[in-house]
Amino acid sequence: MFTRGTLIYVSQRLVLIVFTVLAVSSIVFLGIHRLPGDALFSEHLHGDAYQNLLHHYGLDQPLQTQYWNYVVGVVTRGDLGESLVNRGLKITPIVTRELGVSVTVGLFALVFTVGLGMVLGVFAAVRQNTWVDYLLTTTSVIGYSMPNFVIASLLILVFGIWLQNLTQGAFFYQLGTWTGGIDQLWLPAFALGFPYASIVARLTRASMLEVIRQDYIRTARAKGLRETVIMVRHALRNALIPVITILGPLVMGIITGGVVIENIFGIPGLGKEFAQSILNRDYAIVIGVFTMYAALVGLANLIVDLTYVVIDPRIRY
Amino acid sequence: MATATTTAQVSEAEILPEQQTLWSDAWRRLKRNRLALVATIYLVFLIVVALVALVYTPYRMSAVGIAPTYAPPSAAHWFGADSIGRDVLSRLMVGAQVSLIVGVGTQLLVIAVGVPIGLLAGYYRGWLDSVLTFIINVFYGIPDLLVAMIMVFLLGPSLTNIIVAIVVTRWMDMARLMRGQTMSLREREFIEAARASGAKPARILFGHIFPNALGPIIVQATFGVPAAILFEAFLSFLGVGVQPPTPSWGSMASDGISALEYAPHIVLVPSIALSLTLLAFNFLGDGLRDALDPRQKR
Amino acid sequence: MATPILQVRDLRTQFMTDGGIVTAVDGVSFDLHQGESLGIVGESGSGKSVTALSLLRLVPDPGRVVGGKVLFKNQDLLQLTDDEIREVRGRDISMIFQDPQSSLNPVLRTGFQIDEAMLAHGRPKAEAHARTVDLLKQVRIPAAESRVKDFPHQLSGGMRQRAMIAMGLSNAPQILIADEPTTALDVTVQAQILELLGDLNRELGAAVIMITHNMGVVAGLCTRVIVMYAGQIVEQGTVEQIFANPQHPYTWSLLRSMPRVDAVRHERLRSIEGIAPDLLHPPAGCRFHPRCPFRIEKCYTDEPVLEEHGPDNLAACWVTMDRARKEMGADDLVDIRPGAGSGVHKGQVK
Repeated sequence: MFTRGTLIYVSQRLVLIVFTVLAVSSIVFLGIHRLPGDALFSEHLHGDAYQNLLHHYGLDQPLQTQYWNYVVGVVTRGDLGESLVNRGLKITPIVTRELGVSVTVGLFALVFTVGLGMVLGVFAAVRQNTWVDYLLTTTSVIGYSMPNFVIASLLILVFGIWLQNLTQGAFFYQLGTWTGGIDQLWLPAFALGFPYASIVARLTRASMLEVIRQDYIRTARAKGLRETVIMVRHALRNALIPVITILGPLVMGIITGGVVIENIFGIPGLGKEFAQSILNRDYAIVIGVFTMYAALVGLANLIVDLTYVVIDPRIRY
Repeated sequence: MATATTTAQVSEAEILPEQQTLWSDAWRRLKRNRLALVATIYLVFLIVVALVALVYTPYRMSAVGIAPTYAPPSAAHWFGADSIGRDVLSRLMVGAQVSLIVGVGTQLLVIAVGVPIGLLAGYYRGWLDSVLTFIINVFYGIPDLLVAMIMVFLLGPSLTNIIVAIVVTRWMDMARLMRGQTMSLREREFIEAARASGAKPARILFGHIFPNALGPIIVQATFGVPAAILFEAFLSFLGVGVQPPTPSWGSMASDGISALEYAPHIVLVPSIALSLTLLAFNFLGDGLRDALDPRQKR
Repeated sequence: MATPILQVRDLRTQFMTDGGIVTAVDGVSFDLHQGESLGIVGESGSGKSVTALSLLRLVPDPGRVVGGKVLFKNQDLLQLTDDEIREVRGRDISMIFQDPQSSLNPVLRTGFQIDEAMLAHGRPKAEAHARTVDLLKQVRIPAAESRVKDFPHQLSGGMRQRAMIAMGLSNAPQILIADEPTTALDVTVQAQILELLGDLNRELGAAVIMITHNMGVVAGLCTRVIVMYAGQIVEQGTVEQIFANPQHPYTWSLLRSMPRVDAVRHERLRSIEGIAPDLLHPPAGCRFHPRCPFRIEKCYTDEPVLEEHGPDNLAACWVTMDRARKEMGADDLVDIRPGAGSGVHKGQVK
């Protein structure tokens, strides 16, 4: 499955990711520093205090020096600098911790998306043209037409408020106090994954319907295999091949959708930090978070490409 | 020369009737699709609402305190009032304008950007295609929402900038579609004929290939509209979209989140409007696809 | 002769299509004896493949076996429960298909797909695995030990079909149904596969049903032949008899359309004129009459039934070739367009 070629391919991609991350953060760095004023501008500081602060952040140096120092800091020490709003706060440790939170939520949503989507899709395909099929097909159209924040609001309304009142607090979804426990993960994961689960379900259904007409399914039946074995081992594996082609956009959607979801549920991840620091005009953190995101997206896409190899033995890198 | 002209005329004469039956057939099929029809009626209604909102809203959409804060729906305020006592219905109507402008404006620009790129890549192939395909793939590799947020942040949050940011991160689907269409169309006889009769590349691309790819372009654009509306809603929800006092469905929902417990209508009203609109465009897109390309069944 | 191992009686299979009901297999009856090799011949659309699939109830939607009996060891396969028929499939009766490219699952290792056929019928894993290697050797795949780990796309077309045959043989079935096993292969590979099937039939004693459109394949491999046309059996007999003295004009024209090594140089190869009938609206009377060079008036209206026309020969024809030779000059006929050989009803054509 994985060969020497795969190894070479992976290392090439890793090098490419490093360069992309550098390029992306450079573009944002230069873009932001071309803006009139700066983060300190809003603090209405004057004279020495302002100059001291500029010097502290190195903002008094020419742009190319600032940029060079930044790149050297990132490459050699993994140092993304210091927050402009909360003085003295180092960005790298915060962002790294937040990355962990975002990845946890994202992975949960991904497993949920693919799992639910596939189960529903297979079910609809096996029961083609029955009411189950129509119900699932309709639900999936509605599903991908609902923005994740709408789903999130409805979930909070139902699970966080109505059911809580109904059960006198026995069933309570606590917002805002993040511990990362499963009980706090499943609602955000559902809201984040549901639109994509709908797409996966639609695709799985179509692709299953295509696959179960194939000759090798007939061969499997002629061998005397059980219907469930035929569906899972012979049909689903093949039906997954077209489905994994949307895994790339799907992972991207979960990463970007996470920004919205983290803000609604008050999850202290990269997305919340990103939106917050944009609103706070904390350039340093915006650049830092975006750099993290660039790395995350690059790695996620690499992993997606590697799953192709696992699923379809005809693909080689 | 005379023969060449004749060939060109013949080839065009052959295209036209075929095209006409294609469109009328598609219209017939679309009319039979009940979901698409309902979706169309809803969208016409939405456009009327957005137009009416230009000259009339029940209350001034930015007027604060014209109703008790968090007032639930009532006869005077059909959809209630928000956290500072503004009329939700009036804001919803203006929000429809924002959504439609963003949705349609974005897709017009996406066509303007994506179609020429796709035409060039598909027609000339070779190194030009390689370069353009590479660019397309690079853009597919960027997290669109994040880049759009940064762009709006850098350019400033105006409606135009939001549209530009969405176009920059979302033009690739159209270009890729156009590239594929061009590649298959350029092998067809009537294109060969046009080329043989000495038509200039620009004329072949925009006079022959583009009109013949119009069906798939329309379908793609129809699916692009809800995607763009959703995108704007995300931006506004996160506070980097349309700026107050102009309402957007996304920012209206975002404003209401903190009051979800005692005034759920503030979130639900724009959420439902948004979901219905996205659903309608998706149904219309499905209908158009089935109507324009009967071979490609889901 | 001993009791047949398989008795098919009045088998009927229909497809419920948008245009109406298509009866793809229409009252087919035949016997298969222990260790015998039976060929079922016909053009595409004659119902020969659907007949084979019907035996194991593998007809794809929207098709259904609507009537008849398939008696195997005194039990009617058509009456078994889904679990019971599954036990028969691959263990007592196995099947190999036309296109080994699409008949093997592309994402599973070839060896595993053969293992699976044995695991499904209760053989322990290690034993199944060892037997797979043996089977691959038996079907003459070189380096069988390493080939088991290959995916189907890593094998050549001929090797894939050998693997399919190995899979079919894995549970030592009593009947092996081969549905056009050589059609998708190169000519040289075709010969090898046929030779292999012949050897296995002789060595293992399994009865073989060979579905083919190629008379040559039948000549090389089979002892008895069934000729199908438009969902019905039109002639059956021993290979010697069918080749030497075919009674049905369809069989006769099939044989004439066969390239022969001993043909006189200027003799043209003749294909059968006309096209296979539309089974949604089959012709009245004899289904072959629109294409038959020797049709008589009766053929337009009355459906012939299988009757004995000699030792171990059944044919469904009002005319039969014996009469066509004697009265219509069939042997001298160069032009075999529909109705061409007729001298009997000139001027009476509708």
